[in-house]
Amino acid sequence: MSSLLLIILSAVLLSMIAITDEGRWRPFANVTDVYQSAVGVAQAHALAVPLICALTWLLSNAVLKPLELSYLRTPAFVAVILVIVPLVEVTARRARPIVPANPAFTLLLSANGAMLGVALMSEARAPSLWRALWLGIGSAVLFSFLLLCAATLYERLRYADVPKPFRHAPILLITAGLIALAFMGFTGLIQE
Amino acid sequence: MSVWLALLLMSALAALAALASSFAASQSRARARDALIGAINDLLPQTQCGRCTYSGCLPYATALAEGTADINQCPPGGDTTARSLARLLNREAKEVDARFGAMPATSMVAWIDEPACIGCTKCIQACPVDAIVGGARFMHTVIADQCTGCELCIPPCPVDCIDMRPFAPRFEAASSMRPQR
Repeated sequence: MSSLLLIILSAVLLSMIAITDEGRWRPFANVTDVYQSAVGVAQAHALAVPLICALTWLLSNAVLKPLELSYLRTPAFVAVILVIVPLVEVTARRARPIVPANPAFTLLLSANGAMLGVALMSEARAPSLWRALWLGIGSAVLFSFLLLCAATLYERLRYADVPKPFRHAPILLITAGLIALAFMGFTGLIQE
Repeated sequence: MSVWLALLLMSALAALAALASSFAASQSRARARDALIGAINDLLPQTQCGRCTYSGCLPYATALAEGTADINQCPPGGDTTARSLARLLNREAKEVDARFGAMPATSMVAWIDEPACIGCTKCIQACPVDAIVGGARFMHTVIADQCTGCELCIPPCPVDCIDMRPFAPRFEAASSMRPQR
């Protein structure tokens, strides 16, 4: 449980740094609003993570394990992520008024800890496809919630009197570290 | 045996990933092309006169984006349009080719000699911007504000009652709106 939280928290941190970065690392073109951009990233994750969880679980249990190729799971899962992410990008472009910027959006999604981490966790822990799918949906919801929280936190921090050396990424790292400390309280809450 | 299986599996996955990203790339290319056509179309004068040999401004913009047309084919836009097209498309600026027609010195609009008009509606059908109003066997007239001066209504007129005249905005209407002193 806490390892899932930490994986997602690291993904949130990476996304927040990308979203709030000045200039060309922004995942959405022409968006200056941090919250709006976070909504876009959260929706993309909500679409991609459950799909990736289900597909990687199927791949692992139907192909890799019977063929005794389990050592291939990390590169194979990365390949699955690279299949899903461009499709999610196309869907996002069709559906959303704010347009993802190439290639920052694709890079952010595919290099995100939430994708590979949750896929590896569901493969290791979920006994059935349904459990893997639920783990994916749950972690996508958690990711979206945390990302939107972090975005609103950041919006407030913009108007706070943060000392100059701590502005932008440093204050985000400190905030995420504090949240991670709080999450460590979940350790042992659910016996796994 | 297992090595070959591993190779086969990873190649299949890599091929799928390549397919997916090339699909996404082709989508983004199509979008970029549409955006370019829109940007070119915004620079064109929207007379829809067809003097560029294309059937209207948007087809000309499409041909420009595909590289099959040259930037100097739009007489109504004149050198201003040719220059801004050259800037947008990173091509060398050139003057409008005389083969596509003369550039009007001032902006002209069509004018119908109303007593001579027989109400044949042929000019209404020819007008690309619906700037001529009138019914069959009734007098027609030109909405000067809407007319682009494309001259497409002149050849179909059976009684030659359409002339091109310099566009004079109707200041009378505007002045009558002002408060009287």
